[in-house]
Amino acid sequence: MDNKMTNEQLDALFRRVFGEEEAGDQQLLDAGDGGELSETMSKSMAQELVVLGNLKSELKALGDIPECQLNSARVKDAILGQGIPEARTSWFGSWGRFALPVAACVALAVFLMNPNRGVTTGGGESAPVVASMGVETHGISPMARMDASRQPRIEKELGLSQPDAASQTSIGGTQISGAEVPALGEVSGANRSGTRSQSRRTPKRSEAPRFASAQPVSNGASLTMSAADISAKIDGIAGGGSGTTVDRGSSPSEAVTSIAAGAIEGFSRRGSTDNAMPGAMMAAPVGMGEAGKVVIVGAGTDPQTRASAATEVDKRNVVFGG
Amino acid sequence: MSERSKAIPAGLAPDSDEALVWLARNGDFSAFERLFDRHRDLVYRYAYQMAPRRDDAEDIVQEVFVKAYQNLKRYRDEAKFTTWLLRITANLGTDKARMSNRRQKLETRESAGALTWMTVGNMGEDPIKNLEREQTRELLREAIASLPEHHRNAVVFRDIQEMEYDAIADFFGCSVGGAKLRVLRARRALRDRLAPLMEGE
Repeated sequence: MDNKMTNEQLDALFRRVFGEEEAGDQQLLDAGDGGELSETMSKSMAQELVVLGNLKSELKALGDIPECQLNSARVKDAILGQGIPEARTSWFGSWGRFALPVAACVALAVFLMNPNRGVTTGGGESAPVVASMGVETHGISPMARMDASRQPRIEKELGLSQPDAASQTSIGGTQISGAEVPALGEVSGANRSGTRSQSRRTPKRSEAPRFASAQPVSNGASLTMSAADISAKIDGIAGGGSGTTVDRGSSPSEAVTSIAAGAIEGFSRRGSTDNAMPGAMMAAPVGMGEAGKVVIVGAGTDPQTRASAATEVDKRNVVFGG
Repeated sequence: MSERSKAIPAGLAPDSDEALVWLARNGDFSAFERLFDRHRDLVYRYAYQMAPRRDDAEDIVQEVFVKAYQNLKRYRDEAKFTTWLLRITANLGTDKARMSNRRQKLETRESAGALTWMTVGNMGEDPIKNLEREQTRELLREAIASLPEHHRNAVVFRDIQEMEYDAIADFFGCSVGGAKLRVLRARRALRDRLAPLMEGE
C-alpha cells in the first residue's frame, strides 16, 4: 500500500480542517484507496492535520489587525482635494470632436454646389481674370500659352465696359496714373472670394468671332506685349525703373526679345518675399484696351519662354468672317 | 428621511448599498459617508494584507474611497458594491503594496517587528512568545504575498476575512464551485510554501 497521500486525500484534509467537509471526504480519509489506512499513512495524515490546523489558526490570526483610524472627514478632504472629474452633461459634448470634419465636409459641399466655380482660366480657353489693376494689358497668361502646338487663335472680349480713363495706366508709353491703382500684392475682392463675376467670363469658342486672316500689324498702332512683360514693367517702375521697356513701334523681333526678358524677370519675382503679386497675375481683363482694337495671338512662340506673342491691331485692319 | 431619500427608485431598499449609491450619485455626500462607514473595515482588512502597515493600509483605503466616489457613475448595479470596492482595492493595492514592501525591506527587521508588536501585541503575555508569534506571522504574510494574485485573493477573502463563497465567486466572476476550487488550490499552494517551516516546528 502506498504511504503517500493522494491529492484527493489532501484536499479532503483541507476541507476537514477548514470546516468545509463534503460527503465523500470521511470515507476517503478513513479508507484510503478502498482499503484500510496503514499505520504510516495514518501517522502522516495526523501530522498533516496538525500542520493544517496551525495554518488555519495563523491565517485567522492575521485577521487581528490594528483598528482602522481613517475617518470620513479625511476621505472627504481627500475627495475635495483631488476634485471631482467633470461629467459630460450634454450629448453635444461627445459629438464635439466631429465638428471640424463635418464643417469641412459642409464647406466642400457648398463649394462643389457653387455654380460660379466652373469659370476657370486654364487651358488657354479663357483669359486670366484679375483685379482691376488699371493696367492696360490683354491678359495673356504665359502659363496658358505653354502649348506651342496649339492652333492660332483670336480672342476677343465682348461686352466689357471700358476702364476709367483716369485710372488707366499706360506702360511703355509714358504715364501711370495711380488714382485707383492698388498696391502690388493687394488682392481684389473677386479673387479673394474665389468667385468671379459673370461679366468677366471669357466667351466660349463658339461665341468668339472668327477671323479668316489677320492683317499685318501696322507699326504705328500696334502694341506687342505679353502679360509677363507688363508685369515686369510694373515691377521695374515700382523698383526704380529698371524694368524692360517696350516701345510702340518696335519691330516684332525686338518686341519678342523684350517680352522674353520681361517674362523671365516677372516670373523670377514670383517667389520673392515682398509679397508682390506677379504682374502676370495682375493683368487687367481682356478687352479692356482701347476701343476698336482686337488682340491676335500668333502661332509662334519664343524659344526661351515658350510664350505666345499677342498682338493688338486695329479693328479696321482685320477682316472678319471667313 | 431627507427629500432626496424619498426619491429613491422603487425596488431599492432605503438602507441598501444600491440606494445609498443612488443618493451619492445625486450629490448626497452623507449617503457616501454611510457607505464608507459600512465598508471601511472590509477594505481596510484586505488592504492590510497587501500592505501590512497601518498607515499604508489606511492610505489605500482612502484612495479606494476617493476613486469610488469619483467613479460612482461608472458603477453598474448588477455587481455588488462591496465587490466593486474590493476590485478597486485590488487594482490600487498591488502597486501600493509593492512600494510598501520595498520600503519595508529598507527598515530593519527588529524595528519593524517592534512596531508591530507595540501595535498589536498583548503586553500581558510573554514578550519572547509574542516576538516568536510575530515572526511567524511575518513569515506567513511573506508567503501569502509571494502567491500569485488570484491565489492570494482567494486565501485572504476566505481564510482571513472569512467571506462567503458566493461573495468570492462574485469577485472572481465564477460559480460558487469554481470559487471553492480556487480557494482549495490557493491553500495547497500556501501550504507548499510553508511546509519546510511548519514541518520544522
